[in-house]
Amino acid sequence: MGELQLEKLSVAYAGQTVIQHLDLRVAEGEMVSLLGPSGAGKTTILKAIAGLLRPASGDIRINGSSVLNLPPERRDAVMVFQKPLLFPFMNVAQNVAFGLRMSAHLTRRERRQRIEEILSLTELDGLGRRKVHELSGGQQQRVSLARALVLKPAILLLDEPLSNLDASLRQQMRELIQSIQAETGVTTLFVTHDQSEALMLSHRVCLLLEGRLRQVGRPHQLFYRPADPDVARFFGGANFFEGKIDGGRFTSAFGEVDALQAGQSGTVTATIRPEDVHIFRNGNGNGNAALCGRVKKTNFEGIATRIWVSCGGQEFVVLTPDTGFHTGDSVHLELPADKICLFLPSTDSGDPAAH
Amino acid sequence: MILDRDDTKRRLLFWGVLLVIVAAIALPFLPLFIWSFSERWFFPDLLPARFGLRAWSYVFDTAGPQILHALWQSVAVSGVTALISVAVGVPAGRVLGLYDFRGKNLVAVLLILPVIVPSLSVAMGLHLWFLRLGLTETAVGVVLVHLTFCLPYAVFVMWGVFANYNPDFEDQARSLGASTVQVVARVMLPFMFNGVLVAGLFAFLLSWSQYLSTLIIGGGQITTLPVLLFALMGSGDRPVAAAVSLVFVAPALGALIVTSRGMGQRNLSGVW
Repeated sequence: MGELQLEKLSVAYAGQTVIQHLDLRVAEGEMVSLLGPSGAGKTTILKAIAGLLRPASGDIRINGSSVLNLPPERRDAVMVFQKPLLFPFMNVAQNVAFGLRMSAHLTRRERRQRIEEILSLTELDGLGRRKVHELSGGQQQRVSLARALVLKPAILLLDEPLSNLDASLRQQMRELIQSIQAETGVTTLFVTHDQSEALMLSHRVCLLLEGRLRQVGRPHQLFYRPADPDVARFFGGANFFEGKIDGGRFTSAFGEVDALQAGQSGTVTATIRPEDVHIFRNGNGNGNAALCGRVKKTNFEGIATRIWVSCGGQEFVVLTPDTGFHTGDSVHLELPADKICLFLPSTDSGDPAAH
Repeated sequence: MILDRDDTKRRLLFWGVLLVIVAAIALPFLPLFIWSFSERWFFPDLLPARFGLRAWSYVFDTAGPQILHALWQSVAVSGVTALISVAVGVPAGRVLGLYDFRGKNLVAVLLILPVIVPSLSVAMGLHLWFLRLGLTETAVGVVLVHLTFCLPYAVFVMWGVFANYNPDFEDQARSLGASTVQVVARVMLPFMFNGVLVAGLFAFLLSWSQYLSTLIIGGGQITTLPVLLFALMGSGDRPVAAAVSLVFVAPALGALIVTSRGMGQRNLSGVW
């Protein structure tokens, strides 16, 4: 069990600073994801925590004490890489036993018991004597996970462990990781570029854009209350429009909302998620002329259809399960007031890591 | 039925090719073998007029102690040369295979120089230096001159091995609790096993067959098997020379067979 703290952590890679002044606290038993586009330096953070890379500045604390001067093998944080990296000259059980042999002073019997336990936890019962190249990709990834879990680390670091798997297998593995984490309660920091993976698995999500933490919070917060347009865009937000705040109320051509904080005034940007916009046939509904428009393009995506509508000099993207819309159709939109999210200047601009 | 016929065809082809390969390797040894058991063999007879064990009894009785001594010297010199070659070749190959730095191509050229320059020139040149340093007529000097030929091969082999090596395995091992020493012993060397075997074998065999450089630097004091072999051949006794040749080939062949079992293990290919 453990708690992880990153304080003003800056990490450079190949002479370039990729992460600057990162503050993050992962509480005991918590599962936190570092979400960001590929190449954002997420892996570098994990390597710094694991001790495989020296940070340029800042501090890393595990259970309150700094681990900066500890070599990787003496840090109570184990990293699982993107590729399974199983040792080919060992069988499954030997791979899982690797870490125990290196440091832990266990009798042969205790070791065997821990390996049995962890193999069954990762649904690998009976595969202990298999050679690693006889395993499927998903099994290899689970062995890699078991090899780390068997050490009962204070902090488990996962570097995109699911990105090498195909879609259906990935869903199974997500569920497995979720249940293992719940069962063992191991404090976990994991890196992913897949937003649905981050939203599904984490207690808290840290969105990393351009080397900085842009927003930290529960999955719902990031998805429905993005801190700024970039965060909204990352989670698929596409509809941005401007309006004015006056007397505690936001007004725009497309809709009105009560602004939460009184005393604000001026121009602000608002957003609404594509799936929250209602779309209707016939372009002359409920009186708001600004919301009448034409379908410019449709994209069928399976569960939903994405529709681009131009209206009131603005383009809106709508996601709807209705498949009956075609290019050129005359439609009108409705933006439910409770789904409109405002980016109020200066209110959220404090420490983005605070939660 | 068709499948079966295809199968037989393929099997025939396999055995045919194998036979040709074995014949190509073994046939040159056949005359040596016959010579070593001949007592009298005159041109143009296909086979000796009389077979006998004279040459072998000479090898084992009369020249026995001499040959044993030479065998021991050869094994010692080649063994030490191979060990040093591997010991230097592994770290050197690691640097060349895993890191990019300025002058890497220059290193490659310098490494290949002793291989393309005739060994006679190298040995002659080094002889002058070794004279000054007092290394001539010593085993150390002979090992050093052998290293000029063997070391580059070992480095090249290990360079290739490390170029295909994923150092992430070491990071993973460190994170799992292995110290630097444990990483080398439990991760790097197992991965390198085949490569080290090949590099060591190359170095050993190359050193084993050195004649000129051994003679020049060793000055006749270090009598490895090839040196002794040439001396015996000079006497013009063909059966004895043939027997000694076979004694000379046997350990090298043995080393090859022992290590080839390890080299054939392709099922070790990693999970990247």
